[in-house]
Amino acid sequence: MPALVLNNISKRYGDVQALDGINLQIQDGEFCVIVGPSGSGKTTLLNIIAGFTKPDDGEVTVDGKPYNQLSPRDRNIGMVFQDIGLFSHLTVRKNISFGLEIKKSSKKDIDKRVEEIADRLKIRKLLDKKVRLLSGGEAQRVAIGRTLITNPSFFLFDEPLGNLDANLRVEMLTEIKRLHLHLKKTFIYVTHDQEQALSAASRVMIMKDGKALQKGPPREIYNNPIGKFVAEFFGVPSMNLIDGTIIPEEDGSLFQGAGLNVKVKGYSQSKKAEVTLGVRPTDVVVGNQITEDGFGTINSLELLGDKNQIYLTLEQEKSIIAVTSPEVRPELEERVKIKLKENRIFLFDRDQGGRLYP
Amino acid sequence: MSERIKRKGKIPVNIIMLLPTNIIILFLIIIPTILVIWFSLVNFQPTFGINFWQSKFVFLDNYFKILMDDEFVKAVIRTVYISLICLGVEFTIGLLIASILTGNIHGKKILYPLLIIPIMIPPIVIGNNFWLIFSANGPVNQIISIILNTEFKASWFSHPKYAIIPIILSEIWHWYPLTFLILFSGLVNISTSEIRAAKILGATEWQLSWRIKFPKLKGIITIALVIRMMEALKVFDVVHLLTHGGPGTRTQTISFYLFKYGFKYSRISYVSAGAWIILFISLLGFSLALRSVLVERK
Ligand SMILES: Nc1ncnc2c1ncn2[C@@H]1O[C@H](COP(=O)(O)OP(=O)(O)OP(=O)(O)O)[C@@H](O)[C@H]1O
Ligand SMILES: [Mg+2]
Repeated sequence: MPALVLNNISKRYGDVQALDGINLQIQDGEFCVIVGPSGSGKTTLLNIIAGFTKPDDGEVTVDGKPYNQLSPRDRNIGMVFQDIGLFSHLTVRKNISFGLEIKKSSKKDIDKRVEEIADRLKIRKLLDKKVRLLSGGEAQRVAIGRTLITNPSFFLFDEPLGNLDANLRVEMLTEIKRLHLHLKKTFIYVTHDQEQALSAASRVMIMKDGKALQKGPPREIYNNPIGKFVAEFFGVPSMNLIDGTIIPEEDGSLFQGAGLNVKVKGYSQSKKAEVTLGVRPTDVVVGNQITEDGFGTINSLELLGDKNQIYLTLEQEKSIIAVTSPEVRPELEERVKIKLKENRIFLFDRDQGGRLYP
Repeated sequence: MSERIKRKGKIPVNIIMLLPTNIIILFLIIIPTILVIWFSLVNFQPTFGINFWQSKFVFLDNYFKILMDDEFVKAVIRTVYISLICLGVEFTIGLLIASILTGNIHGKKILYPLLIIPIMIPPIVIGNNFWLIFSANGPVNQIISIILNTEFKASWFSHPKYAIIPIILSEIWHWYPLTFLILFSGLVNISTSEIRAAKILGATEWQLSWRIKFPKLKGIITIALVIRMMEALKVFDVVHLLTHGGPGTRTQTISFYLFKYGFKYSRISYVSAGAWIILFISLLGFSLALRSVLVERK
């Protein structure tokens, strides 16, 4: 049975449709990641799950129980807020123990539990500090510790936007993943960084403008994006998108755009159409011994050790990225042949963004 | 910057710029202060026909005399007592309204200006209003008549015990917006995440207030108390308008006492000593109160 079911959740703020019919089922013990650009409604969704915001429509069910009428304090949820929100007048210790102190647990129990948590999160040395003096990463650990103390049945994390640098984010996520393995509870993790989502999640939901565009295991979304937005948003570096025209031929179609002539065998339709071709950087082949789809000029080159990241300019100033094996070493400004891997090509409707092929 | 100015050998610009303000402060604050110190140490009464610089030096005599004066001591105690009641009631009201307004209620925009009207009304208008409200045929007596179902015609202002009630009520009405505003600004500044974090950890509304909101407001509450207390200790207008300190001296406050002895009986030296005593006591009290806030900050 799914632990958490969101059924057709909608929320409007004035003219903004913050959430528009979100459906989601999360299994017990799952690590679900929600990604989406700023303003797509991620925080609003978490607030509805936690009970701080009432949805205009739809319902939240946990273990088969309707949650809509339940106040946050009765939901048994742990939440780390986007702006962290530590109790700034208390010490780290008092922040962590808050959840037990208001339940009037014995002092011995509280101390024991606080030290346990502090050890796990490696913040024992900070216990008697005022939270005002903590660094961003430390503050986030304390915030996690604070939610752990009441043993909630599931956890919501809203990743801070600006105040953690990339390294710290990765470190934090590793920490949270470890926690997930240890606790075996349900986690919902909001992030802005799809690279993290890819590596961490058992399931991902991609949101945009209050809608859930696509849900599923990250690999599946990566290999099978339903539309242009998801294709470009999900994956690092982003999928290359090239605008062009598709022309019918006897056996399939021919894509023309930015100087490329790409045969798309599997796609056949009756007349010309404006489309966008999508291809992952790893599926762009660069070299001289190939039958080319077109040419590009090397713009810059990043040698990353296990792979090379090549920035190319096609005709009409179109820039694309290719990720190749380290042996491929073209010169800067060199004009090279380009080939797109045939069975790894996507075609999208130029205006609507829907997927046409495959 | 200041180096260069000095080298020119002229009067530094910064001194010239500050001069007008300093002159005003000199005449409005420094000279009067020195004069009052002098007054309190000599025996000066304008009606004696002796200039104040020629008056007899009596050192601390005035201070001893006024401290022995039962009327003065009673006025001090009464003022403190009025202030404490006002503060208590105003804080309760202010906090209540502020808490209600931080919640989700309709019509906030109309309520804000309505709620702070009293503080913008001149004291003389408030005094006259309360005089009408508590007059023999005023609404207060009439409402009590209806409740008791007999005719009730108390003359509030000349009642030895109850004359203080209209004074206290008018003070409360006049000043509750101040505490309300200060507490409200404190409450809305508590971050939503902190409140939500407490809620999701299981805090009840009570626990939220006692463990999160009040501790966070401690500093601002102390400051509000000090500001309001300073105002309360000076209460004069309504006393003057409603009871004239009467009946007898039953509603006399410090300010009214000093006014009466200073300007009616011309005992300038005597009240100067009284003023210094009050100032000294207030400074002591307030600095203790504020120190607790400052220590907290560190
Ligand atoms: N209380 C509110 N009142 C009015 N509009 C709101 C409110 N909360 C959210 N919104 C709007 O709803 C939309 C979704 O906001 P939300 O905070 O959920 O986005 P988000 O996905 O969390 O963005 P970010 O990644 O920047 O945190 C935004 O357009 C926002 O302006
Ligand atoms: Mg957000």
